[in-house]
Amino acid sequence: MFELSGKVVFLTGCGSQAEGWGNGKCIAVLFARQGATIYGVDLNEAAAAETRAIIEEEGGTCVDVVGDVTVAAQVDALVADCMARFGRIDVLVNNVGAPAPGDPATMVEALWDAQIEVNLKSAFLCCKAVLPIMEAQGTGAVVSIASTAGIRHTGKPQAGYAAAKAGLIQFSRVVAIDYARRGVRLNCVLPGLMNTPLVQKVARQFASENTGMDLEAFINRRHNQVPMGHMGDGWDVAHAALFLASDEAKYITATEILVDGGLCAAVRG
Amino acid sequence: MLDLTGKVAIVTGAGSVGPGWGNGKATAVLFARQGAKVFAIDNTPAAVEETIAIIRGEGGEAEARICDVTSSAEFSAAVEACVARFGQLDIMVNNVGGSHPGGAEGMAEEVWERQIDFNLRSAFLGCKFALPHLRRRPGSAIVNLASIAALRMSADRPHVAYSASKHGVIALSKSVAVENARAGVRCNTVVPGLMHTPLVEHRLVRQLGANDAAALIAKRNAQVPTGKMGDAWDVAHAVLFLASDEARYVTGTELIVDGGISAAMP
Repeated sequence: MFELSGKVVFLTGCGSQAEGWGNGKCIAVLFARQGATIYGVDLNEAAAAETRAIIEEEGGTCVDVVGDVTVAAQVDALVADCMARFGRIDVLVNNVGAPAPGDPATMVEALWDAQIEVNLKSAFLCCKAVLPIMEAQGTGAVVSIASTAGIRHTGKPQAGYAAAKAGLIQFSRVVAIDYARRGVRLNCVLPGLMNTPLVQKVARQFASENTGMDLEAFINRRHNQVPMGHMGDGWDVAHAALFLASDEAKYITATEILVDGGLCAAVRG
Repeated sequence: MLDLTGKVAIVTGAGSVGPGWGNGKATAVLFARQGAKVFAIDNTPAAVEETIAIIRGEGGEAEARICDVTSSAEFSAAVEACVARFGQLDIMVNNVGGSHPGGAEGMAEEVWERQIDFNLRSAFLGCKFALPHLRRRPGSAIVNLASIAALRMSADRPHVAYSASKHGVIALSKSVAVENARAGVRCNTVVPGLMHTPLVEHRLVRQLGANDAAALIAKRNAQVPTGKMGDAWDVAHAVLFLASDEARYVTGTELIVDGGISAAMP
């Protein structure tokens, strides 16, 4: 089940921003456990190297590369490097992304641009470089990690992040239709409130800036917002991404899996 | 991965109406392959016996139960029989359903009522009778089957009651999911698109004749962005994922298995 042996995975954001298990790190390790060769890209050299070390220790194969996937020339070079090493790309996981506060009245234009670049343009650039390879292979799967912020207000102003993630969802859907007959599937995973290293970092920022609430109270509030009563974690996201990347999902394209503990199904209490 | 060892699952509509693999049959067999004990419900003895024979032939464990899932008394007794036989219930798959053509103006009221009973009330009863048992088990889950007929409408082949009842299944699932989230019972819906299953073949051939059925099947393949209808295993794998512990944080949502058709305009 969900066998990835012989498949090459191009994964962006393969390292964790802090101690613990972020989505990208979980995806890298889980996909490697299923037999895939991982080509992992991250801005942070040490974070990427840590993911590679875990995979190698478990007997898997991973190459870690430092790169900024918001820059077209770098993306092209990374994809060319991956092809030179492994000769194919079966799965592209667009995992990079980062939220920032975003009230249009106060948000500086440069921050808006940066939000669109990291959360949306990165996926466009990777697809631009990888889709022709998948088309030539006659097979491929793209999984983009969006967010429930793309379909709901999250409780804090994040206009740039929300717009970019909504853009990512619809980008993935329409490109999926264009590529449906060429053997390439595109889907999104929409994580809800997750207890990942990135969120811990953001929570610390929001807690101190806005509410005067201490970190523990802030985290507890997030747990309680979720119908299941707790946040999810990087493994929950990784398992959904794995299903969408697998051959078992061969008839699933142009859609999303919400991994949110029921958050989007519920109304405010 | 997606191991169901030690779990007990009910699958309704676990027999196929014709030769080949329907969604319920594929789901029952796939669950058994993943280690689950399967309590297979169907209203047709020969169909469900075939499913059971396949599972047992592969070394799996399964029980058959003949039951009309629109009958509260029969369905309730079947769920209790499952728990009596296997001692627990971890997964409930409400798979029974079928469409009857017709628009709002032309459809007889009795047909509407039968469609709502068959497609929606059956899933409600499945949730109702399974929940007390599911709440006792860690990592329990309900998976209901809807259809893209709930989300996208065909101008030339309306099936108004089917669309309404399947949309109802989606809302039923969300409501059950949110209400039972803290009790540890997840509930989700698989939304299949155009599928090449025995139900389709069987009904179409009966309704249209073999030649016209072949033409309609070709047309349906062409309708799908991928160029080909899906099959029962596509649905079964989606059901399996949602039922599995790997989907422990997935609840109150839908998984569309449709080759992209609902994302495209006609």
